[in-house]
Amino acid sequence: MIASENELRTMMIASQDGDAPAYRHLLTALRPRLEIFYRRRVHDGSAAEDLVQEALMAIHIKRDTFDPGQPFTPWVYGIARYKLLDYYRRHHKHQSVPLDGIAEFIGEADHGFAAADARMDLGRLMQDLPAAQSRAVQLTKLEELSVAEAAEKTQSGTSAVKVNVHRGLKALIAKFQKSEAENV
Amino acid sequence: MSDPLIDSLTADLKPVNRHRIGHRLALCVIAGLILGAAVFWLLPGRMIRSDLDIAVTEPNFWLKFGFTAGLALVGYFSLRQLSRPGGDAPAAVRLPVAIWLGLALIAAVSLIVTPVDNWTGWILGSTAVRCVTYIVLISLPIMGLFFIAVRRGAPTRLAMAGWATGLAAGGIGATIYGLGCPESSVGFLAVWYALGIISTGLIGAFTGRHLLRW
Repeated sequence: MIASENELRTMMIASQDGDAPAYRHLLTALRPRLEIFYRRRVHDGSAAEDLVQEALMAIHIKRDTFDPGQPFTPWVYGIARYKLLDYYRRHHKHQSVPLDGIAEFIGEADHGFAAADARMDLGRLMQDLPAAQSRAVQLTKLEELSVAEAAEKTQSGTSAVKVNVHRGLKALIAKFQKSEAENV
Repeated sequence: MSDPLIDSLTADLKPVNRHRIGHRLALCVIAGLILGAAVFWLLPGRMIRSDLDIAVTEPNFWLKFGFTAGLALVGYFSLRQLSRPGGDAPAAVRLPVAIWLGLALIAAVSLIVTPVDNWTGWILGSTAVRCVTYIVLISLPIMGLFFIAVRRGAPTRLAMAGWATGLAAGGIGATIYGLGCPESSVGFLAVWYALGIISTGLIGAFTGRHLLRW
């Protein structure tokens, strides 16, 4: 289960007051988010794990800088993004800052974690699809390959890919609506 | 599932002081005023206006004081945001622009009532270069103090935080310099004081990208 902004913020405020169990909950809830955030942006798996640990340590060392009057997500996202930019700087990867990184720079992507959560939800829903459909959707919609490229990768025909994408998306939408209805 | 890092971070957790950054920044203002006054004292040809008792009765003296101290306050309050992760302060750019435009408007109006022959003197004064360099020289050590405090927070927009640091330090430095500066025309203020403070701000923005890393 993914903790909401309010829950995280409450845990953070308790952590600042020295509540160790709340702090453990908080860090445990943040870890998978950080993992998704860095793995999506850093292809070297061990570097991504290093970044997760660095971010957790930064959250720890700088925990007095959180202002309880402010929302928590921008604070933690600010640290996560700062550590990522720091990593790019150290590896002289100035050119390869992803597009959404630039959007983050101008302050429009404070919802980065929400997007990561949505992606996780999508991943969960896609697990229930037939393998061929899920793979077709994955390749054409998430990895943004063309139908022809996807066909080559799955060693099937273009029409088969198209049918699988169509059926897969239709099933996903139905599942999504169902899970939304359950969550209300 | 147990995570060794989380185990070690949560062990022996101590309450933290949330007001630490705020206190440090406030301390910087006081220490900055003292340090700036000391630097001003050491600079060659310094002077406290001998007619300070008369000057304080003139509106232009207070306009000058309001302009420099106002920019210092904008920088200071922006830093309170920018020293924290994810903190932003668009006002650190917008407000100085608005304040300067207001000043420029007053300057333009007074320019109309000034005889054309006096325009050059009215804008250039007799201490223009000295004004800009002294404001920057007084402000840089103050900026150093602020950098230490901001770095011990956790700024995540370094250039912006550097700009706000320069603005706060430049505003404080210009306020100190203003107590001794004999120039009182609005035109001089809008050009040379503004230039001194903007220069300090830009130095802050460029150096902050490196010096504010934590």
